[in-house]
Amino acid sequence: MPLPAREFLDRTNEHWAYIVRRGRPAANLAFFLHGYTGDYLGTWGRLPQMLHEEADEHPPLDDWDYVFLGYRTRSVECCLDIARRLATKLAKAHAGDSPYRVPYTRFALLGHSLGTLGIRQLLCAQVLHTPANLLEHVHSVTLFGTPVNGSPLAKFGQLIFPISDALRPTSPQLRMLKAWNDSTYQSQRWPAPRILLGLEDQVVGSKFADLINWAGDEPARLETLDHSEMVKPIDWNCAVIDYVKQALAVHSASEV
Amino acid sequence: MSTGYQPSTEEEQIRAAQLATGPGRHAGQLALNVLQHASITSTPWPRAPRSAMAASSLLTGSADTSLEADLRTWLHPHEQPPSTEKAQRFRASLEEALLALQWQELALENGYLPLAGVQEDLYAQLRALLGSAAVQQYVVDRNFQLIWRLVRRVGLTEIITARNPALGDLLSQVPAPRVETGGQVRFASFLSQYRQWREDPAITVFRQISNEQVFFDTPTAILPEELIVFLREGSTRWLHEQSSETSLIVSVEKEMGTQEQARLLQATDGLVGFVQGLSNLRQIFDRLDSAGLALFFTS
Repeated sequence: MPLPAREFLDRTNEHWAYIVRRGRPAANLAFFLHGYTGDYLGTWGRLPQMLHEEADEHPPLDDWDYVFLGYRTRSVECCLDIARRLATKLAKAHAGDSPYRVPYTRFALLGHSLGTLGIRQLLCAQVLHTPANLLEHVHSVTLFGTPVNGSPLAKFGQLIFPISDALRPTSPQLRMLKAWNDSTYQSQRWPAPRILLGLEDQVVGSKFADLINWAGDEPARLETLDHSEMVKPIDWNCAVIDYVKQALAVHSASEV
Repeated sequence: MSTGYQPSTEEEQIRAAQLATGPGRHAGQLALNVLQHASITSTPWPRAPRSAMAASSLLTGSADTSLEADLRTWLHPHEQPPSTEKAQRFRASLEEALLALQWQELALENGYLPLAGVQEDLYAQLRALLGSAAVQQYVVDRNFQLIWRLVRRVGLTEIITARNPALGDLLSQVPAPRVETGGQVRFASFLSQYRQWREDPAITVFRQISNEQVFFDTPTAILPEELIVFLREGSTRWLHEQSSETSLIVSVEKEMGTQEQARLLQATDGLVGFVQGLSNLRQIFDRLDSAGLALFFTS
């Protein structure tokens, strides 16, 4: 039986998994970051398994290694906590520190829901950037179901999860993050975030995209998917895979 | 596409350690300690992996009779709640120990762990737990089929049968151990989702309020997709509608105290999280032979 071309390192206790080409790691690394009460693997459905088994048969996925990164929702109080978690992993990956097999030079950032706010926070919080020119190493930014104006469901979790405050529509934390994002983008550019929203999304909705624009974002794309479905590929021929492939293409859409 | 990939030795050790601190392992220690002590003092068992037939000659004795009498009281009938605190603690611990072993079987079946590195430890645990006829009967009554699969996988079948011939028919029907090649990522997804369920305080409140039997006895692997979609979309849509009005919160405040209100909101959040997890699992295991998973949920 042939060996697959990729290894799978799983750290349940630390909430991450690393899928790496066996013997010949790629130079590029894609990070997947889940959302509110999500799970580092479960959020993405069959995607981790598909990448582990068949990424090398589906260019441009073959040129990338993958990290599925997570956090306990109850452990984060603001988007900065999520951003710092991501920044820590990026710094290690860039340096080639364990568990990474090589120093990575190019990163794709893909987030879902609350995870997208963590990515936005990282992009604009320069103090977290290691190396200092981190943005030059960011190949693409893809935000699935990003809460451009929070979520009406946030109130139900506010008694347990402090981060729920950040997700309340018009919350001070969200307003501050947007202002921070828009201000920093004036002087520090990053690849234009590709926004995917779901027409059936009852969690963050899609209509605010017409009214609220974050600096640098591409125009939002709309698919007939709900909040959960938009990050779970059914097979290799579906919208989710298309967006992942676009994010990892040699020239991302924002570079063309 | 199936693969024959085996994790490296280092990865294998890390995974084994993760499972050793995973769901049920700590809470199950009480039952293991009680039964290991009884097993050692009264009934010598062979160490794995000695010949099963040679070992069976050592199994003529019975476990500590006073403990066995207690166990019969504590564990039978299993549908009724234990009558004493001691019995409650033991039964809860035993459930967790058996849960941890079922996780081990799933990990082995899905190729997440190779047997070689954990066989001796699993053998010792099963030997201790199943040294009691009362525990054997409890496993039968609770229909923990994964435990019998694990018994066969580690080579305890003949010894158990020799000790209790009444189990012969049941054990003869246990399918031969197999390894689902290519299943390790799927298992990892399942494990991480399950831990999320166990650790999420909102889901804990939801389970307490809703009587967890309603959902946790549901065979997720064979739950119709339509029902999952209905639960997921229905619950989020309902919450979405409620959240746009203050009537829900106001009526709750009028009818309930602050503490109850908090619990209700927590449970509501837990409902969303739980259904989301069901949806994740349904998608991960779609179109697969997930017999082991189904057994886990239906037992």
